Amino acid sequence: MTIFQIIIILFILFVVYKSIRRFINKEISVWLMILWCLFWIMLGIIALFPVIIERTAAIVGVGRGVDLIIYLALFVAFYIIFKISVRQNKIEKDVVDVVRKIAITQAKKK
Amino acid sequence: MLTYVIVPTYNEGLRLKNTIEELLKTNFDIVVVDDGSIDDTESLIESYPIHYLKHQINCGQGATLKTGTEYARQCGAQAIAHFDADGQHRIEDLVKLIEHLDNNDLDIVLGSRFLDVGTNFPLQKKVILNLAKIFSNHVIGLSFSDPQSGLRVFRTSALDKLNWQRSDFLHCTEILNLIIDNKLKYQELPIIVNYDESIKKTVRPRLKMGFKILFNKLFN
Repeated sequence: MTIFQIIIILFILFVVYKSIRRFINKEISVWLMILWCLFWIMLGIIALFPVIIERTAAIVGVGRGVDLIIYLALFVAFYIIFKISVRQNKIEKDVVDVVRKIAITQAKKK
Repeated sequence: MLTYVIVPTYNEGLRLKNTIEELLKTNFDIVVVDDGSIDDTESLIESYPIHYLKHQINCGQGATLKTGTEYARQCGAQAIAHFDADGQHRIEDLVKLIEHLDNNDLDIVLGSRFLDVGTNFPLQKKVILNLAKIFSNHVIGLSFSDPQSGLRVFRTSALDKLNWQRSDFLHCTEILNLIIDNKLKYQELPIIVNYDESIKKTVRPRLKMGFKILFNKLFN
């Protein structure tokens, strides 16, 4: 096992531990905890057995396994940014609506 | 015609006080909407016979005008005017616009700084406003002589068709779009704006606004 693999595995163990802690503290749902753990365990398996991603890359025609990971990571990151942006706009609008309603309710009349 | 004048303000302090003193010489109802000022605005104007509304956080000029406009409608206003707090607009122009709306079959009357040669624009302002005008006419497709004017008067009956959503400075362009889209009857009247050095303040981010307008046009 390489040093890189050891670091990755330690980091994944830490993230999985934090996810379980958050679930125990009722900060996240059981499904989010399972999803999050599965995602990181899957990354751990890929780190331990890189041949998996190499073969997958060859099947989908990307070439190198690292390239496939980068493409997938970029797609996921852009999608998350888009989702966050839409959500943030909605929250901003909701906040402004609430502030406006409070101002009208608490108006000081002459 | 029962007219409410909406004055949006953000950290204008003494400039707002002077503007209110001028506005009080008229018989219009004055609604000051404070967009979360952190200066002494509230204490400076608390003794005046006006309506005072305050946003707890800064929301932008579009949202501030909307708050005042909605409030005026609830108070039974027949006409609503938007008037800047910083002393740039003249009372005589406001009265002229309101009378013109009252005497004509119009939904909205807009003040225009470019229809009168009386305004002495600082060079920088003149260049920026003319670029904004060219941009608005040719890129956005709105043929108004002064697309960024903050002085406007409209009938409350037209408000349902003037339901702007933008909280920031883009509400100006949005209102013009709504006028065209809803076929509202409008007219532009010349106004003179005081660009006195004593009331000079931070220049609005026009370039950023231009990009925002373009982005809005492309993706909405």
